[in-house]
Amino acid sequence: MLLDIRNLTVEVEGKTVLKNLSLSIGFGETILLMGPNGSGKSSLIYTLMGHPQYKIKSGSIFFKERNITNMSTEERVKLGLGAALQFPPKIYGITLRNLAKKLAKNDAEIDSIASLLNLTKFLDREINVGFSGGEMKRVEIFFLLLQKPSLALLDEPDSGVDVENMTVVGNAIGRLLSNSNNSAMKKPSGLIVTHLGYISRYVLTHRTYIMQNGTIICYGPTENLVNDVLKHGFDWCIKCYDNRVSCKMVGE
Amino acid sequence: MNINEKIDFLNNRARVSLQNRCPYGPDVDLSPYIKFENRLKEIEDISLLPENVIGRLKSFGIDLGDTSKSSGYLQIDNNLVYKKKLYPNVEILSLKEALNDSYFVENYFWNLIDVGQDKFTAAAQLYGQGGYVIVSKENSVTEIPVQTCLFIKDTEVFQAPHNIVVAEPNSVLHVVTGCAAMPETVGLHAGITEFYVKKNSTVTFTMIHDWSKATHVRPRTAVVVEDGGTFINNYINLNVSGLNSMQSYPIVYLKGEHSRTFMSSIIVGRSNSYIDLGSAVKVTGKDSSAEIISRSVSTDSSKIVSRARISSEAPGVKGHIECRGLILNDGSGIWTVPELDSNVKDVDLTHEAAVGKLSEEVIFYLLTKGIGRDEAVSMLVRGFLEVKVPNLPTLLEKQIKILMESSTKFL
Repeated sequence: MLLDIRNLTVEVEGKTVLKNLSLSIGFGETILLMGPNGSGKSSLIYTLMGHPQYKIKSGSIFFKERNITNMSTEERVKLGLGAALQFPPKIYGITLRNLAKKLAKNDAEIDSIASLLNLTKFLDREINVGFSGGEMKRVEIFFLLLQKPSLALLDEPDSGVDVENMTVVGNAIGRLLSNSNNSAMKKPSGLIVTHLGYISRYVLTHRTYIMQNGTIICYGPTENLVNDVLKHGFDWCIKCYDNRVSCKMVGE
Repeated sequence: MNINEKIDFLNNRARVSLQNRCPYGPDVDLSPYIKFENRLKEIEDISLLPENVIGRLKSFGIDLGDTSKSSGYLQIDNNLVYKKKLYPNVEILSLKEALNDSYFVENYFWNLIDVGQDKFTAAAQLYGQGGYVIVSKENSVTEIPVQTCLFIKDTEVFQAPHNIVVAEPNSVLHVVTGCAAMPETVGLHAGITEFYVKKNSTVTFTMIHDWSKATHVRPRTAVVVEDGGTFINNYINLNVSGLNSMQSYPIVYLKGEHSRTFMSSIIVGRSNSYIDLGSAVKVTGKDSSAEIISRSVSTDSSKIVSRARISSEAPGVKGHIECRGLILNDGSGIWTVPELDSNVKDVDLTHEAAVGKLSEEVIFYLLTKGIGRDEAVSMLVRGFLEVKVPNLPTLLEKQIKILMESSTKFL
């Protein structure tokens, strides 16, 4: 296992955001995580990245066979975690190029990845200052492509992205999670959070998890689950879970 | 009034003002610094300067190795080291030379600053030595900045040159001044600088300070801008070597119609420095505009007072003040004092001020991108201190960038 989350319970300012959550991702696997707003998807990403406000009350996180439950963000990133945040902050005084230079092998790499994401004309602008929602998503993926993490956590990479750029984002994520990006290493893994599932049309995923109230309530093959959710809504999943019908068999 | 009458008048007024305390900043006892034997000496052979002085100047971007290429003025303590003029449209004189000209004395000598303003202006007139005079010719554009440097080498030095810059109509002039001291010198610097920006001229003045821990700094600067003129002030004090105390409150008089000023100050407070720095603009020319930007970063136990004032007495005036302070640790502090006033209704004057710490969300973001905490903080501070100053020549912008890069590494 690349990532193994065991019975994780997490609080933010005294409020439980993740409840006894377990999830694992193998080497080279990409999984989709769906769920209604407020179900805890972003909390899981912040927790995995070691945000100081997310306090782990019980359970543990193993990454590359190491217990990272109490590890600092810096160490986690060094170990190979990377994230594209849903709402990245504005970074005044630091341009895309300034930060990219710290991550890239050389200027040519910056230019080629920026061009892949239609970000060339943004390179000398301050990060996220005056950017649209879709532009911020592309910026996040741009940095991940330079970082080359072994596990990329992508929080709603498809929300707020217009039709033209959806292909750009989809292809960039495809490249991020493919071998060609980082041939010397094992194929990277991915955890993609989405509530609309559009991204599944562009990225091949191994399975989909459904999250509700801070925990995983269901999982199954992406194609069936995404279609069912889009058709019936998350309520359908929740009812199914409440009736304790064997959700885990959905689509199998 | 002839030359002697004016100088007698100034000296008399200065003598009765030697005890006048400045309302801002800590008081300084002048007695250890003032020595009557101070007289400006000219050094013929600069290779006679001690090796460590040459090194310190170099670290500050002043290379004496090839003075044939430098256009400008270098004063060490009270010794005039060189005064070179290379550009055809810029006249560089020592103050001493300029004071032989009665027209000059009548029109430019102490006409913008009251010699009796406080003990520092008074002492500058009575005991100060040296100073440069730079005049750009009418209808001329000189893109390469004129460099000047005021340097304190010995201890207990009172250095108070009187500098005068005149931009004749329709001219463009860039001046860069570096002021520094040898480490561990105890000095008092109180340079007087007057700028006369004539009709449709543009002057940019970049001043970079890096004193020593025991230095007190009290520069006095005033600027008058005529119709259609522009004055850009770009003050940078990254305080790498520390200083004891500094107080300065330059003022720009926008006298002409459609005149414009942009005053930027970038300050880093370190150790237990006390810095009280302001920028003031008084507008009497209609349809003029003023912008004041300050960025202060306090570390260690330094204290920074950041003042800004725009006063308008003319219609159609636009003015904006932006004071931002970043407090890097408890025990250091920043106090911002933005002020706006007007006695006419047709003006648009605004200010914004903010003091605080670096955002943890932003630091976390950079951590997730693989930037270490120390580096993240240093990148953010560096970004915070970045101000886009208009009208600067590209080469100078680049030099400032390099300086900022190297001087903010340790934050």
